[in-house]
Amino acid sequence: MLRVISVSKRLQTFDTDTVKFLMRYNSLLRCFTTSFSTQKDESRISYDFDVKGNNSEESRKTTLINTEPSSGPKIDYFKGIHGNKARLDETTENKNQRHFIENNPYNFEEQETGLESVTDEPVSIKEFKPVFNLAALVNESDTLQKLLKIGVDLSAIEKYKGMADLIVKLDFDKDVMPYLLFLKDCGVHKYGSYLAKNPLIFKQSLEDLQVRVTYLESKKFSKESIARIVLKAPLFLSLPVKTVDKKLGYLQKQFNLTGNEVRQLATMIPKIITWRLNKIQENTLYYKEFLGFTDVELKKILMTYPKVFLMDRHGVGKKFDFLHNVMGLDHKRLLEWPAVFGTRLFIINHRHRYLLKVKRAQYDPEIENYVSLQALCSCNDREFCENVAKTSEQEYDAFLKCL
Amino acid sequence: MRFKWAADAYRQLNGVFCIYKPTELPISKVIEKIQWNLARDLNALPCYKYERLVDAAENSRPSGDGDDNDIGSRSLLVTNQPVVTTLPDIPDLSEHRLVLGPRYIGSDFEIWPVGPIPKHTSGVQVFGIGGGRQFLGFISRALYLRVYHVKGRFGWATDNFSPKGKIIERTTFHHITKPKLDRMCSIAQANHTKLMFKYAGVHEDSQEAYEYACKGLVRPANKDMSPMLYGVKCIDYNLPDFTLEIHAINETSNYFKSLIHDIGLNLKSTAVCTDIRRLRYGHFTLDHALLQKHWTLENILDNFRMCHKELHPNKLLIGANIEERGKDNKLLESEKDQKYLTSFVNK
Repeated sequence: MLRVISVSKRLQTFDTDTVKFLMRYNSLLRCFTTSFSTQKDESRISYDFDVKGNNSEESRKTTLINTEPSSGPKIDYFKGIHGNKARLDETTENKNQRHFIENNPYNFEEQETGLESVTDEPVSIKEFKPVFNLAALVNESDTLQKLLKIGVDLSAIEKYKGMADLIVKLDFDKDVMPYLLFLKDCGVHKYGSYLAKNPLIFKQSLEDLQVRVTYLESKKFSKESIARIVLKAPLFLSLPVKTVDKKLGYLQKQFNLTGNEVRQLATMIPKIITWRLNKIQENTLYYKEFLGFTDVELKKILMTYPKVFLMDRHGVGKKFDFLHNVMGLDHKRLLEWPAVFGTRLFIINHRHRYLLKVKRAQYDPEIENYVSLQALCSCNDREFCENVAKTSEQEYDAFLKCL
Repeated sequence: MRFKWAADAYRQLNGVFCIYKPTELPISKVIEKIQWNLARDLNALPCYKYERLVDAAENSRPSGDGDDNDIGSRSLLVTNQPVVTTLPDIPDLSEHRLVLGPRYIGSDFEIWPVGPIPKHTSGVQVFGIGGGRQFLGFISRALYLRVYHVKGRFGWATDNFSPKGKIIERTTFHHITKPKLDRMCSIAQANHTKLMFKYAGVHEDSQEAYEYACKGLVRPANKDMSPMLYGVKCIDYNLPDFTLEIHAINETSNYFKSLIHDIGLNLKSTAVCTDIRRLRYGHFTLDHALLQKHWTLENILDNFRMCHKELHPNKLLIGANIEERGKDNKLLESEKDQKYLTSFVNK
């Protein structure tokens, strides 16, 4: 639209084609405005074109010439647009819709620079209709196509508030490429899954990211483990070094870990770096005071199955209650395979009761027919029936329907 | 895989199926889980215009190390299974799965229960999904007989009759014998049988009552009447535990809990209901029911075939007071509806 005006100003002649074009543009604009705001808006003023344009060709010319010197239509156009935009924002806010246009950076640009660009230079801003997701833009936007090609899940990205606007604004070569190169330097090759999980990386400066990776290097993390940490804990690159250092320091102090053990832990479960510290602290307290694990035992769990410290402690408590009080396993037995806390309770429950029924529930390693926790939990039903319970799966299914 | 196109499978998801609800899982969670499983299974099939099933072996060759970009290979890691891939160089990128997201979400599947059982009760539970939900009304109005196994334990009482409540009393139970318990059971049964005709809405000594009784089980007038027990029998007795087999209509779990409590009190002790399990819901038995691990797309579709045999008008429209149920009666009369029903059943 900006272009149209500037061109018409330069030509100073109004042939019928220009007028038709202006009219078409006007009606387009009306579609645009009326679809979102039903109230009468200021942009109606510019519909004078249409109304008068319905008359003879001469009258069209005269109205245009009349309005041109006073530069009325220009201002009216922009008033119309801004008025609409403002109202648009209002209506979307009222409906509590997280609408694409609401945070569209393009709007703000136009508000700031729009009036200046009325001057003669043609402006190469592409006008997009408001859309509800990125699918409408993906065929036109080069950046989005390239992001798609490297496997970024755009549908996941647009769920972050304001993220869709950020992504649309990006230029692939200028804004995205440096980050991809940076990720490549870190040793991450699954760009797609990384960007889908942490698109906020585009808001960080490259220096900041480099500082965070350099921190890991200074702590003597190997290249492979840095790559694993960056990929598996995508938010790590968005966390300040201070926070990360505090967490690693806490883990080291709390569990008496050596430097090597800290590195091993962070590589094994990178999520622990981005997890909230007070959750880990609460879990540790719960396992120590409520479940009765000693510090040494907790350290062993941390080094073999650290996921326990990130899980919901009440779920772990229920599993512990069943294993300890119903199945009669002491803490020492549980330490042999802490991954039992990652198994769903109903699986442990059903299998234990079935073993009781077939008289094979024998969890003491010193007596024959010993059933280890791993054998109990880490296989599917068919394998369990064949190897542990030594019955057919149909019998097991029939038993499950008796519970 | 039976399907090559997700919409084909989705279109077939209309019917009645039957699951075995485990204990400690509320019915809303059960529905959520089934919806989630169905969405997962359908999304593993080609859903969008440019998606095809490709053999895993073929797929891995051309793409090489770019496997991670492929959504199909991420969802199905089993070898020799066909995987879903988007064709290369598609003309319209807005049809890509990475742009549009998963095609099916949980709320795409409307699942309603009939005769829902509460959280701590396990057993046979009938559901309708999609178009199959229209049968739930018939099933509910048929007032099927339900069979329960109710377990109880003597010696204690809690504030809400369940073992999870606060213990308010402890009692001795060694004076209780099997004959005494049997006597209580038959008293409970007899008291309900007395009320049988009253709940059916006819006078005991009338001709109507005689006709009702000739037709079979005398059912309550509707599903909102108070619970009606047709048979209470002790099938397992091992102090302090005992198990009752109860045949009932319009029952609730709370009613069973209070029944166990009352039996305890009448035996000069106290008892708590430890477990309630539904074995049968009319024609739907344990054989029909799907275990939790089988709540998947293909198993549910197979289950339709089993359950739809039980939706035959002869089985649905039972009961002594069949003439009184206008809606169902119309269904018997109108040929069109009957044809529709039978076509649905024979499918």
